[in-house]
Amino acid sequence: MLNRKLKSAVTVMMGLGAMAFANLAVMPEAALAGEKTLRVAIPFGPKSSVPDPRARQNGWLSNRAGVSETLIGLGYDMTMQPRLAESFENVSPTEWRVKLRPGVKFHDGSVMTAADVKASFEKIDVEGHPGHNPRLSRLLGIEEIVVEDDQTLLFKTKKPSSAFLWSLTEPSAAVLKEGTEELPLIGTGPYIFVSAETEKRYETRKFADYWGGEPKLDHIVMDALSDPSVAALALQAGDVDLVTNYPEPDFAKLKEEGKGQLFAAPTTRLFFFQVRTADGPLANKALRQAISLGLDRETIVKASLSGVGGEKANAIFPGTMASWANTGLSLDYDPAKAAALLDEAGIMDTNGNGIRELDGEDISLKLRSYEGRAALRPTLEITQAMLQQLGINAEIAMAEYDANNEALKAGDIDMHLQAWGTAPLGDPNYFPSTLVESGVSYNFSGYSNPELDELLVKGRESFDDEVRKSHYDRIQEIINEDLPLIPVFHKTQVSVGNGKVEGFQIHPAETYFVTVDLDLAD
Amino acid sequence: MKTSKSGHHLFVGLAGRLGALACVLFGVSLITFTITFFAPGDKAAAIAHARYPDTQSFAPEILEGIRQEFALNEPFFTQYYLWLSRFLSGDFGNSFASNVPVWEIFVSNAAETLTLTLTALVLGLICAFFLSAIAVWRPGSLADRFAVALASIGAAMPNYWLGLLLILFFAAHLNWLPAYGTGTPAHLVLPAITLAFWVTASQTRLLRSFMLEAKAAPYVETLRLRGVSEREIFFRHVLRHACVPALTMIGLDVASLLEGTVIVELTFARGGLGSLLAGSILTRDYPMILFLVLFSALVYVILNTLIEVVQDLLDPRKTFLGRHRAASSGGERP
Repeated sequence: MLNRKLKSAVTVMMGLGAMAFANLAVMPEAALAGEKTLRVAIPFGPKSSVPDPRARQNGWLSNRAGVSETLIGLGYDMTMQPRLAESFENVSPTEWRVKLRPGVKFHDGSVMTAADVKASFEKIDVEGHPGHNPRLSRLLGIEEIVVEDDQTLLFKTKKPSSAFLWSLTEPSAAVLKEGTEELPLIGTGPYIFVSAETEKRYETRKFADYWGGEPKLDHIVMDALSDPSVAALALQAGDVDLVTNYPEPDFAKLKEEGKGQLFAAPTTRLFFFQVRTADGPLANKALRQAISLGLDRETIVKASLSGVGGEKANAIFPGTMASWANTGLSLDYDPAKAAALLDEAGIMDTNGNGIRELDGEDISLKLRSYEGRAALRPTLEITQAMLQQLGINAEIAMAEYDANNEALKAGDIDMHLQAWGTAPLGDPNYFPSTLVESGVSYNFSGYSNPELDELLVKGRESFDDEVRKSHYDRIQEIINEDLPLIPVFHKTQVSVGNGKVEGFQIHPAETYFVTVDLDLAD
Repeated sequence: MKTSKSGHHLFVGLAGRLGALACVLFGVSLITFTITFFAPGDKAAAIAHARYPDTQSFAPEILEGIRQEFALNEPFFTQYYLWLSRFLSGDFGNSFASNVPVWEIFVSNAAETLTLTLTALVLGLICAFFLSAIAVWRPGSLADRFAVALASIGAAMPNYWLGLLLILFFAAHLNWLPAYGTGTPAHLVLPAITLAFWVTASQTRLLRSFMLEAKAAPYVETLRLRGVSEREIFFRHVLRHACVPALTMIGLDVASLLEGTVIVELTFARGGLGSLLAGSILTRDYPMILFLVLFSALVYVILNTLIEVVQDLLDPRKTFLGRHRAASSGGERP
């Protein structure tokens, strides 16, 4: 009796085992012999099996993968570049004429027309459509799209917006045709979408009829390897040809030894403190300035990113951002000047306990950050030590991003260390107008400066880039002077190839990656 | 008459069990929902971050739209009721991150976790059985010490570290096996060994002590005096006695394996429920988290029930649903 029961139990177990192993028989789409396949390790995978580039932020991956394209692009110096649009002009404060590049073909072989572009953009507002995107709709603020002829469109915006063309560089503003079973995503890029596995893999194949010439690779497989150490080992094992986000300490070692095919470039991602300026100890400007002077940004980069993963910040935009950075600014480390500034402001240690006092009380600041980016925690810890050197006590902790924002807004904490892409669309307005303009929802500092507010309004209303540049130069100067935000460093992306990768370049806003020039040497 | 009575008891017992299961799941759902409800930070912002992971700031209209969509302005019990009634009617909700139904994501990931855990469990248990049998055959011998040492190393070594060491050696240096991913049996080898090593370590220590205990029982000496061979004593008696407590521990290990898969699946960049749970927590994908936590609770409860059934089969003194039998016979069993 018992034996029979045991036998049936064993049979059931064997059945389950067989079922489990049957799962192994499902092989991934294997590259055909003789075809060129590039395998890339990326940090984040696709969010669904057919990620429509217009929805959510799927566009970032499909744009990087060379599947979908936008009308206007961002150059490697962060300037505006024609992409699917050949030219564009401002007709009136609310009207923009866009002329399409002739001869652009969709992945199904059909030629892209102005009507296709209009249809693609309209899907953003269709609830229930896979491309529905309320955030993008608000960003673009389109009132109407008029097809003037096969190659020309007139975009009418709800409000005057000098940033409209910049917002067309947003990867979600992609031009797509309705997908079919065979071709679920029909874009215009050099590579055709083959398949996606949620958070795992994104596969593409060559589109020979690409408007920019024939791509050099037959297939590209992008695998999401969230652990950089595993990605580095996968490169060593020959399982991937390129790792886009390589672990910084290993990169520094390769650099020192002169080994490996190394790529590094600063990005527009800024690590900065948002500071509570409306009340609390940091309402004192001299104290904020002293803190900024007391931060040895180079040491921070060296300690938290092995000296290769970041570049000391001199303002909110990196110097490489040719279009908008105010290169005349600097944020230097000068502890002597910081001490003098504090002494002058009467912030001194009168009771000899090593901590300076403000209004008769020892200064003790609450600093917070959040998990999600490896460099945040060490940066916070080093800052604490540096503040201690200045005679300022700091209590640090890692918490939740939105909870930190709320605590800063309530004045429960003094500084919130964060990392933001400062110009994801190339336009300089986004970052300051989201964080430091009076009364805006992310101004948790409670900061208000009428001059800065006026400059931001002028910057948005002006359609002349030279005039705009002068406004944003001054805005960057005010931020460095008032320090409602204390910039620390700009993140540098470090990538490593297997020595055969050609035509790869790191984009400062991490907008592009696969281009028609990407190749793998034999 | 007797059959119908025992059938009635079985029915009552099963109903009791199912009732208890429902209570546990209800409790877990309430606790999990409460934790997610009171988690710090604006929930609408959390949903917005899950939808647009590369964006740090959201316009107030976008956040308000999300609040309307998910009834976030409603009080706690209304929200819980809404969620629970949908959940019970089979609508588990859509993932915040992808908008794909939670159930579909779960199904597409379950097979990989099942493959990994079953392989690791079978592999780990076979190793644990052999190691403890060798160890118990001659306690204190070199083989015994080796088994104890291996078990201690296994217990002390984190999965993450072992996984990286295996990748370093077998993938990066020897180039024998792939470093990450899924698809072929070769992809399964390193993650399964990583997880199996942990099973072996924990089970060897336990099996060894259960076997030693069984071997020291007075009846073993009686069997010896009766002239029963050592082999028969070991396989028919010692092993069987050791199996009863071991099964409980194996059952708990299976449940813990689900935890182990989180690290192993992440290390080896495999899909599966473990990496899905970790990803959902990082992006605060609440519908996915709630579903996975309830699923884990269900697995725990079902495993515990199954263990009791199997223990019943192996040990005639124990009876699943025994309380009811005892009650019907008018008293407590000794």
